[in-house]
Amino acid sequence: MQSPYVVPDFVQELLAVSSSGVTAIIQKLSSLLSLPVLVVDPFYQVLFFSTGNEAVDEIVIIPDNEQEFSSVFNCQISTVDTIKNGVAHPITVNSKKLGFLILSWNDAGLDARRYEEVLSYASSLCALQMQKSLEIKREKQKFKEAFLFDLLYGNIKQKEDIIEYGEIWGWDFHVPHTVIVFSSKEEDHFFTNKQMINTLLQIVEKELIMQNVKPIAMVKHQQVITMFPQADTNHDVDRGKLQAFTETILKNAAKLAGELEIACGIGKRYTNPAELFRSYQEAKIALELGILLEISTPMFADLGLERILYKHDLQDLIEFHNHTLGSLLEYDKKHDGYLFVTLEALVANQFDIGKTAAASFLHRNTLRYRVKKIEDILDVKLDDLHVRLNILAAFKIRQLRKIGNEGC
Amino acid sequence: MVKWAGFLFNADDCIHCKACEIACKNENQTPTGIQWRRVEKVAPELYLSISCNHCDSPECFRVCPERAFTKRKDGIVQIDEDLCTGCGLCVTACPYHAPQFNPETHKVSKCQMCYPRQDAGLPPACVEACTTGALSIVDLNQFSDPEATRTLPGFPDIRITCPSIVFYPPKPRKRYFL
Repeated sequence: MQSPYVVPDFVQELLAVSSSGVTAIIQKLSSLLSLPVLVVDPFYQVLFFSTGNEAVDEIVIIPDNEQEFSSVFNCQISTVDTIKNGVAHPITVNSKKLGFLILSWNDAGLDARRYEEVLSYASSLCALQMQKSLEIKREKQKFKEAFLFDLLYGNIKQKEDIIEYGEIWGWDFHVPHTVIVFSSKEEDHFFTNKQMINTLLQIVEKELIMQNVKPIAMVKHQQVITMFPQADTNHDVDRGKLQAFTETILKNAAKLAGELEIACGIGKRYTNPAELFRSYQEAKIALELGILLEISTPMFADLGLERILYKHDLQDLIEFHNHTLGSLLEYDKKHDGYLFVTLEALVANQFDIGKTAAASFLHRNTLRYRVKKIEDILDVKLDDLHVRLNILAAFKIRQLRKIGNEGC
Repeated sequence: MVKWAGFLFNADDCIHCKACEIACKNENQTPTGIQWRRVEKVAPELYLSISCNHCDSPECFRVCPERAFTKRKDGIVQIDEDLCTGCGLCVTACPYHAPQFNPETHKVSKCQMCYPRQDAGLPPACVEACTTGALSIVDLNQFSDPEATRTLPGFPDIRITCPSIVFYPPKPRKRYFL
């Protein structure tokens, strides 16, 4: 007689609770193994904990990087008081990583291999539940995106309607908002790397949640668009917060996006949500000009001169550039004086001799001599404000219109 | 996914017949001097049929103080002439000179990509009239062709506005001696 096909008890027990969600699965797993279990996202942020999420505020997961790509790997779980050992198993669906299932213990001597099978099975159950939640979230997101599209293109004209709609998703549009756009630096506007963009969206949402902000974010083509609330009336504080937020996103994105470079653009703050479409358009302009001018966190409000110059007739701009800097470029070409580089450094340092000397590794007197030479060649006085404005504008034209060293 | 309507222009196939211009005028009954679509010669043997490009970042839409412009979910930029005060800001802001000021009505009008025709499942009048098939309409969410380019020589700068148009650039031609 053939032996019966046996399904282990733990499989039955885990399967029975799986329909109740990830928390039920890890609670059952924890009671079966008599060990705490937690689920973290791909960035090692705790999502579920078998003893309740209120106990996980201060946990940091430190994976052993060498082993991260194997099926089971060791990690350390650092809390406020202790460091525990753990073993983690990736939760994947269609080779997409949704997070990790982690077993935690105090002793160093436990055999990880003993738990591999059960962790693998429980991870599969968690993956199914997490995928289900993700799909529900995506369906909800469709309605959200339709509203956000209308908001970003000014299709909802009444402020009250926007405030009312926003309340459905817990967004307070009584507070002024600023639109921020993140995108890859690729020049092709139709280029879409969905995985990278979704990762970027996750990073933005996570950072907003960490700042206790209900995230308003969406993906549109190759852009991630978010609206940042700015309740503060102090202009400087607002700017500081915006810059810190965008810098954090860019830093995190640089770690995850690999070869793709991410840029951002920041619009103006609008009190009336019906005007937020302007902030969105402004953010996109700031993004494009920021890429050209190599500004990491470009704000539309700061780019007045640049916008005028960029939109101006190219021939006029080239003539102005050549008239302002042409003789210096010609002198450098003939004599290899590198005076143009000195002037560029001087402009970059707001015409401050001390700062420029330090930045260019030149002695102050050497710099003074070179500045005098530049004044002679250009036949101008560099302490004249009008001359400074002309030179600054000419350098901005070079950056914006990609005019080479030889002029045009 | 909602479609992203855009024009596809094959520079080699345009023969400067202006059928698109005439069809646009006929369909929209635009007055004398108002041309929503025009065909321009940008280089020897290179013609460009240009209208509103229904940009992803429309400058007309951003600068309009009356909020007369709206963008549909399929990307079509519309203007509500009733809201237009004729200030002309959109006319100067658009790098493609798409918004057209009518000095008689003191209103601005522009190509609306024949949205009533599109809603009825028909192509825009200009696309239907194109005798050589140089002008067509595509879903830019789906469109992908390594031979297509975002701009052509003589076409205004696309960086700020991201126009919803793609091009097939002219190919080098062979000369045959008879």
